[in-house]
Amino acid sequence: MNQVPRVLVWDIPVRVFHWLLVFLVAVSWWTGETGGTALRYHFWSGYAILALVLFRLGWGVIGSEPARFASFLRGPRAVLANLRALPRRTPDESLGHNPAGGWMIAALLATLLVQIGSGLCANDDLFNEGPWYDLVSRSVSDTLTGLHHLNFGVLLTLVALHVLAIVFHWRVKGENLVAPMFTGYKRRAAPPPRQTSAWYALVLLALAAAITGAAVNL
Amino acid sequence: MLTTWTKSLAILSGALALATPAVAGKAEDTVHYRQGILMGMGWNVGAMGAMVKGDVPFDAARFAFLAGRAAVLAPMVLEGFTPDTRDAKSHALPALWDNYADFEKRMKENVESTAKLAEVAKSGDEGAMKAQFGEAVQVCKGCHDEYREKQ
Repeated sequence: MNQVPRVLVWDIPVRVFHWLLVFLVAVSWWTGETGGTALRYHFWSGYAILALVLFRLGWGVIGSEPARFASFLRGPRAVLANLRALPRRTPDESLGHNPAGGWMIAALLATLLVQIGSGLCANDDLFNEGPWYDLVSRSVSDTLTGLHHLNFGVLLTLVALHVLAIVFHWRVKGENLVAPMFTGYKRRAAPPPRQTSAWYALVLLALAAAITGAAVNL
Repeated sequence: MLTTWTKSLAILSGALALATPAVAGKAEDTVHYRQGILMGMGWNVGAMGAMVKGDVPFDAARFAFLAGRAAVLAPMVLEGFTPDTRDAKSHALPALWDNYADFEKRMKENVESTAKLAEVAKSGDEGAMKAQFGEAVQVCKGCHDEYREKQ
């Protein structure tokens, strides 16, 4: 077997973003279920996720090629072709996200934004209210609290699909997609994608954190 | 000096008062009664919570006062959950009536944890108060999760 070259696909910002998000969603889940005085940490975790998502939206515009929305949000034709190729027991040729996976990223980010937006206005019927609670009426807050619970089910479902797809690629298509999310490298016979300096990511993250801080009145 | 007869009458009427609902009024009235008590508890819990979270400075005397009030209200809640209110408009889920024994158990826990909070609050120990507050609100949450309608 001839050696396919390793190319850097996932830059450091994307990798750090991904695993921090996994960690923070787990923290949010745990503290949210616990409730009561633990909601304090739920709030902090939620704010951190907001900063991360804002960062990712910006990185989707100025980041490295595979991180850009323009590179992975493809039309319906590409998605259909991608899905039709699912049963084929060979790895995808996509460098970064495949067309179906790209839309999963968009769906996850959108779901996270709904989760954050509803959480900011939510209340726990005890003594915790999101920082935007005062901006809405009690009944709107109650409705958004319900949405916060409902949408978490949507988020968990998407996460489950995402993980199942990873398992599917590993078992059926014979490609480990987890390792590249740690190392950044995939084996592809393609020219290395253009990378954006991670320093821009730091600036973007600082900006995202500042917007988050202002939004939640920290 | 009370006669045996008046004493018996007093005991009998006391027993009757305990055995029957205080007011056999409309179910809606009973729902309003319990919502009023729960709102009252919520208001006091909210005020304590603001101190626990640090939104307002911790005032041990004020906290003890609020905890004492919550402890007075807690034993009044269950009385508002009479079987005739099952079909009245409220946030109580059918599960509450289907698991009434469990609901009663939780109400008892609520009375106990609130009483303990009031007791701990007398000590003036901020850490102990905050810890017991955390315990008490878990009882509130447990019941809300099981038996209160999500909006």
